Amino acid sequence: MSFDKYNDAVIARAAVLNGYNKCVFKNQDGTLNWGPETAHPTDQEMLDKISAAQSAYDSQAAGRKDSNGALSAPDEEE
Amino acid sequence: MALTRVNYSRQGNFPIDKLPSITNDKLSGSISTAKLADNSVTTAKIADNAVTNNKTSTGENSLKPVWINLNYNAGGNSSHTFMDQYCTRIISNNGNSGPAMRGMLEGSTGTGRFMIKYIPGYMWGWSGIYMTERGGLNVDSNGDFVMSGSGWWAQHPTGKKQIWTGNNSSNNVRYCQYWNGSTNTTLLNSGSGTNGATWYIWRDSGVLRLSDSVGTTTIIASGDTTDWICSSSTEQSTSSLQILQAERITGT
Repeated sequence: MSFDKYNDAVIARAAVLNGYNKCVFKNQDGTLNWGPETAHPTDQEMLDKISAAQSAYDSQAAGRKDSNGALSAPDEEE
Repeated sequence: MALTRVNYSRQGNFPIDKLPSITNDKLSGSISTAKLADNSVTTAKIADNAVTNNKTSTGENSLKPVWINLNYNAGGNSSHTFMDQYCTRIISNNGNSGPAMRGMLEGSTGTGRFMIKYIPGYMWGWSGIYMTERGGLNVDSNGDFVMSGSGWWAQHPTGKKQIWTGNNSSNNVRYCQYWNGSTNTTLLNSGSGTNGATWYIWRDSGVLRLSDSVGTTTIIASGDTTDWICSSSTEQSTSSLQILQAERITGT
């Protein structure tokens, strides 16, 4: 399944909402790469959380000058 | 007997291939740059690839510990600072899969001995090095690496080899995969990740190896003469990669 239309940081947030805190990234073909992990959320579980992840991303981005909605983004310098 | 007058002014009577008697040494000094009009020789008149790597100096192509062809990723842009340690390190600390950047080492490994010495980050995202067979990354019609749009990066190029070495704190592993042009093999998947250790990739006598400071992994066991292009695996925040040394080894 391709996740091409989703921001990388939104995907990372969706994984966390599924209880997965390790690294995940998009392959160039849009599929998800979980590295060496065999136990990870399914594509459907990721899709189920993607809307909430997008909302959290947008909410954080709207409150920052750099529009960075990534989880654990460091505070902006004043 | 009547003499026949030959009209040498007609081009058809004097084809170039009938003039082997005029050679460069007989034209010594007669053609100089002063006799060429400005801009008469333009790059448009030189065919693409007419100047090949083999005809440029070795020094131009030799592997160097210098980051070039920087590509932003995940919203990265010039407002971010992605380099420190006197520009030896690419680093992003912009949240999980936030803005980041990848870079390419100048030059290539050539076909013989080389060595790369580097420190991968120990952060949430993958930190490491990619090596891609020349011809496996995206180039334009002039053979230059593509910088616009999606850029030069290509994952698992068909028919071209690619190596990925990675390290991170979230999976907490040292990792290496080898793409042989058609299939992908995981050669290293060991915990834990390293925090500040120096890694090496080197080739000697056609054998390509990786040292992650804990152990050594043979990536290609024999006969490797691939001309590798080296790039950073730092496209994912948070990550870092510091290059300590990169060279073609020509001495003993």
